[in-house]
Amino acid sequence: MKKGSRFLLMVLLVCLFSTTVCFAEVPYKTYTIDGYGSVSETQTAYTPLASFSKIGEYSLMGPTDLKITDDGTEIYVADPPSGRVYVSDLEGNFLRYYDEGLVTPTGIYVTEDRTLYVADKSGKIVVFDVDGNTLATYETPTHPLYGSSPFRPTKIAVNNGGDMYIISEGNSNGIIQISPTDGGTFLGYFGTNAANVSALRIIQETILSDAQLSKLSANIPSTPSNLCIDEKGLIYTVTPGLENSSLKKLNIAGINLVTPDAYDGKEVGVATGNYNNIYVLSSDGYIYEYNGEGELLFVFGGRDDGRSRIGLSTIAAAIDVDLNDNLYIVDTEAKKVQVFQSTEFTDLLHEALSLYDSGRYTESKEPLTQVLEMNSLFDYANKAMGRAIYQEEDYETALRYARLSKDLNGYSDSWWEIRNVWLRNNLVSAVLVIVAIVAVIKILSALQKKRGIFNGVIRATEKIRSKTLVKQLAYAKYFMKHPIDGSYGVRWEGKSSYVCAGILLAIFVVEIIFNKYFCGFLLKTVREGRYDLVGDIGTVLLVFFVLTACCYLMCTINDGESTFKQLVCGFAYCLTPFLMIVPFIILLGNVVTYNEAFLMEFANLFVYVWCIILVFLAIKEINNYSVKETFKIIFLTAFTVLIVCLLAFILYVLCRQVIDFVVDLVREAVYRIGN
Amino acid sequence: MATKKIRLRLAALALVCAMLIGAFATSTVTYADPTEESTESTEEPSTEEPSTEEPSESDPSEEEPSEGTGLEEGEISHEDAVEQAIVENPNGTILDHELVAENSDYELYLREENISIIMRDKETGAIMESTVLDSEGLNATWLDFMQSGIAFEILEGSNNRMVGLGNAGAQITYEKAENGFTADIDLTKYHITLSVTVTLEEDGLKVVVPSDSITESEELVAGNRCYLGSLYVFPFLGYTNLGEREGYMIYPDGNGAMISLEDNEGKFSNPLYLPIYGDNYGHFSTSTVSLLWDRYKTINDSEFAMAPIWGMVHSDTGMAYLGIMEMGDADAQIVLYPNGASTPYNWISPYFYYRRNYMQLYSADETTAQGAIVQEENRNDSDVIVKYIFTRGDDADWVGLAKEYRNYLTESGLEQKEDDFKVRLDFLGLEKENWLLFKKDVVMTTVDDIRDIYADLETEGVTSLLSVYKGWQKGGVQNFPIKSYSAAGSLGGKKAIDALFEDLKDSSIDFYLYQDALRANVDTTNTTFNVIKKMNERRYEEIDRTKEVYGTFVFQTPAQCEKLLKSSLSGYAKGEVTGLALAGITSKSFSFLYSGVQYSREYTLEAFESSVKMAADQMDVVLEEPISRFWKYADAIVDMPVGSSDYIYTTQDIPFFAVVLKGVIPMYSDYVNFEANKYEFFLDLAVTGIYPSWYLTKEDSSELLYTDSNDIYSSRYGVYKEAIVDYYNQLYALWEAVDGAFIDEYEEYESGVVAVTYTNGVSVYANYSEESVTEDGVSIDALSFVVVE
Repeated sequence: MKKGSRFLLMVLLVCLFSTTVCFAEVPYKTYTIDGYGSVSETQTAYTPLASFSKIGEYSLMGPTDLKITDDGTEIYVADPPSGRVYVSDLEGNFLRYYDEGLVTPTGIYVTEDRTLYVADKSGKIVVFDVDGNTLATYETPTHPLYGSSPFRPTKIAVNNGGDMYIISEGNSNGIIQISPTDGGTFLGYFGTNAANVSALRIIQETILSDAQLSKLSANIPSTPSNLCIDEKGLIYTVTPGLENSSLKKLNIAGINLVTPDAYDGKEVGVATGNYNNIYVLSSDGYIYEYNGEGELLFVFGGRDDGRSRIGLSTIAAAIDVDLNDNLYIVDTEAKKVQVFQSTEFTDLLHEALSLYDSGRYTESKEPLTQVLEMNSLFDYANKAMGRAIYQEEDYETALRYARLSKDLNGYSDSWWEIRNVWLRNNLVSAVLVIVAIVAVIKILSALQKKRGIFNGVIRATEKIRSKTLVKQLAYAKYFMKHPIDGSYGVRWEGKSSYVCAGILLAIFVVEIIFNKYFCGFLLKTVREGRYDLVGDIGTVLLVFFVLTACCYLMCTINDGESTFKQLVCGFAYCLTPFLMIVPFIILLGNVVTYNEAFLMEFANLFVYVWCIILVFLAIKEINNYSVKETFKIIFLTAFTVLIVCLLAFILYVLCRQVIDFVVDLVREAVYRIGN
Repeated sequence: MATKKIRLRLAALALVCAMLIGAFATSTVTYADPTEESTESTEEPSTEEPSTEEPSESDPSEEEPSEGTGLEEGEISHEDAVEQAIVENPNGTILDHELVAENSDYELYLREENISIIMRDKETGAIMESTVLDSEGLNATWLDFMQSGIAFEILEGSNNRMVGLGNAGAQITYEKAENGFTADIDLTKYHITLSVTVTLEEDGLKVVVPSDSITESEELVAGNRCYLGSLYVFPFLGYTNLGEREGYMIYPDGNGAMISLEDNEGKFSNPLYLPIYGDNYGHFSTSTVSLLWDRYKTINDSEFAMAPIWGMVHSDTGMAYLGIMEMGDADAQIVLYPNGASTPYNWISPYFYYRRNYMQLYSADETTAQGAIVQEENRNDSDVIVKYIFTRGDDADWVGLAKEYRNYLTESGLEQKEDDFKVRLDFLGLEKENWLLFKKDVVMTTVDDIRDIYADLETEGVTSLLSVYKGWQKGGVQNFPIKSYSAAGSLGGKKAIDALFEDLKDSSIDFYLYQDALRANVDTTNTTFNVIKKMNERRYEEIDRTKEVYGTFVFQTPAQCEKLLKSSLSGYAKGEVTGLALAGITSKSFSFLYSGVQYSREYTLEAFESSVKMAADQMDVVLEEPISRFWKYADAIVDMPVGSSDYIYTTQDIPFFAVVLKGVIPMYSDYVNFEANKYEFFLDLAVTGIYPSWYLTKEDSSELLYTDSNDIYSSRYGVYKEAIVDYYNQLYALWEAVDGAFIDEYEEYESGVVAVTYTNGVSVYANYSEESVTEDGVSIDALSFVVVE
């Protein structure tokens, strides 16, 4: 990096806190997440800058909320134990406080003109002007639609029209929306979370009586823990434990626009940044930064491990960000406000983020290049870079970036373009090659007819074909087309053997592995570079033999006529469509884009349906069952498999306990003897 | 690069510190009783009950903040405090203490009743007390502890009791000598005896507790045998009350840190424990660290104390001391209590372990923690020797103490090493990733690549380099231990490495092969034997579940470390290898069990020292973050921390060890690659005289994605070339100006400028602020430095 540009950057980093204490390392790591969902470390995104436990002379006693004014000059801190809302400048110097009529001020919101809205958990919303005069007080809404829930406001956000969005503790109907007109008009509930509907719950609700159900914990939607509003009026909420709904970005209609790709179930704070980015804070002190789509850029911070190091939290409660991207966290337990400052790396990423989001792809390449120079594995940057380069029609490079960041759509688009170019350049020659091959075949067959030049080869082939094993293998092809006849052959004519079944199974295993690992980037379900061959082989063989064995057991007690060998061989033959067609699917998978992906899906469906039909017919014919009996056997087999699995599990648990017991016993004995 | 190292961390501290929440409350202070029993703590010397009382300095119900003197109850004004701390004409007695010895600068006073001493500066009259005379609001147990010159922790059954002389029923008999005294102490309540010899030598105060003077009787106390757990030596020496005095305490966290003696107003409720030479892995307990998504460790390992030192500085009276553990340092720690943590006093003390409690587990699973708390079988048999070096006037600051420590080290045999300015470029050779059933080579930097990089840099004028080659060995960078000289063929093999050494012989590039002589990778080597067990008979394992290829390392026994190092050294000798970068044994140590026998940490350190010495005798060695005992063997120190662990206590980081070692041993920083604020780091390097380091690869670091080195997210040479050349040119100029000199003064200005003056009169002004600043007539641009001759 040129000294000039680096210098400029540092100057751009307007540091509000002049401090000579420079910490070269921070106590926490910073992680990012990639397209595979795997987590990797990255450059420190934010460094701890300062912390203050007092505002002027006043010690914070348990702050729960914090807001920075839109002009980025003042901090409002709600401190419920003291019943006050303190205002300080960004360095923690006391400016004023508000306390008139406040009992437990847990949540605050400050408008552009410094009107302060306080959510007081004792049951009211108090509005102050900048001088501390009470402008309005809103208490429990009286509208019948409000219901009977107690009004215990904990957090609040206010839109430009003055409508208040209020989270009330224990109110699961959603965010309470109150308009300031007529001394507070209840407008309705907003952004209600869905109730938890688990399979267990469905079963319980089906079979239990009302009385029994009432004893279970109530299945009510979770109440959000915090909210914020951006300048477009979009409401962001966080709700612990809702997994990928834990962060919501709600439009005016209450529709959620994001799905976060990381969460830890303890979300307590949310704030929007200056680049359409979103910050989420968890009570353990982890700070998540997402882009506008909910893709995780960073997660850092954490819970103090007892060594008392700065930048770590005890019980964090709320987060906000100022105009210079400094983050402010309140920690209720440690009774302090911590300030984090963005690093050079984060500033570059933010710059790229804002350029990219506004569609200035080429310009975004410069900061992205610098980001990637500092961390070539940074997923979001790779993705954005790939997209930017795609716009410049350098598809090969775009493909490489898309592959690196597992940006499937980007990969598909780039690949489509590359393939298109290839086709354009090679279509003529490809056609020529095909014509040439056809011509050669014609000539050779003509020669064979006239002079029999391949007679030797043909004789040799026939000799091989006449071998029993080869015949049995070839029978697979016949079986595939004529399953009923084929099954007859297996049953009565000894058309198969264990060796033959073994060979087919082996080919099946190989194809499964190829299909899993080399099926083309777009269709692959496992991440590049990860292999688990032993597991794959084991799983396939186990499933095949458990199914066959269970089926055989059921057949023997249900007047089935098959032997175990016949079932094994029959089932092995049933795999033939897979064996014949999947290699082509694998090849195809390496050239398709998302546009043609339906072809692959169709081909796969075709193969599986064919195999299932073959299995059905094989069971039916080899055992000489009726259709009804065959279905019965299939269900029984499924049931047996379930029992076998259960048995295996119980055995495993028992063995495990015995081993643990023995180990504990020996250890204790050794220790007792030793003493 | 401490952040990058896989270092499992002791987490029992979380539990312990939770128990330590002190009871410093409001202005009428009540303090927790230190004798309350603690049965769970086996790691830390603390024994207090948790308290739910919360510190709150101002009552918010008051309308306005309290005006007035701003003094706490029991606190006196700064002027009065200073006046009390200067005794002009003592006439042989100060505060009940009798003069017992003196040297040309200082007098030693003793109060026999509680082995309380006072040090007095003859020139200025400034004194430092070692016990608290009286304190209101503290319970009897704390008071007893604070009034004892020597204090203890006694293991009584599963309890760990913090006791002073009074509560231990101590009977003390004195034997006076010309320059001090010997006190034979009989702790009648616990049937333990020991003797303490205090002598005032010309260069300072020396306290000796010989190991053979300690006896522990088999008599039972309340049904339990009592053992000497640990020892505080003059814990309150130089203590101050709240914010009465000006000054600070220094402690060896990372490069050095200090906490001011100001009134913390209840900010800190816990003390800080700083284990000397890092954690003792033999007592490492697998416990609950807060993990992100139950898997990722987000908290960086803290820096460790490289040297067994601490200090107390009274700036107002111009008196300071540096404490040095001369012996007993192997299993010891520094205990720092800022005011608010249990007491209203600021004190810092050495703390020596003799024997610890540990949890002997019954269950196979270490995390369930079912077991009995028992005592270690053997007592540490090392003598305890503490040395206090006092300074006065202008030297009564941390720079003065650092200079004293430098003198002390030089006098104890640390020689000045050749110190040419070099930029350190480390290379990563070979990594491994999973591929089908095997592990596949990921070649990052071959020997030829290194030659190309050197040649490329030479064209830019960058010629003075030091390189450590990591992952040169067969099996890649995770393949430890190294048993012989066998290099990875895909990098060029032994032949290429030998040729490189041969070619670099007459150049100004020093090249070292990296060898972690401590760890063994359980997947690549047989670790059934010769690896250490912790005290609880579990194998010590460093496990990182986020690593996909390997991820579990164990520590080899010191004997095995030495054996393998020896065999690899003889291999190097047969080749052309002349430089070795040693790691592992240079910074980690432990007491351990092997074959049922308990070995002390002192044993481990002595064995490691002989290994390091053996290597140093045969070739050039650089050591990775070495503890102070090994400094004398190092041609250079690599991965020298620039900052500290960022404890909340730290008022300010101070480059203490940089001041000690600059000009004595060349120091190389952590990798610049991973620094988020590179410009600030650059200034840190200019100020401390530590040389910059990079971790480089020829290939792009994205190749490492599926390897265990995937935390190296940026390392391609091409990316860093410009920065290397830039740093080289700027810092080379600085080095030329200060070559051969030591750091003499260090000053910080309000404006964000730091000025360092060397013994040859050259000053370096570094401006950390975003505006250009003029200090002492020197104008310094924002975020840059200026050398003034």
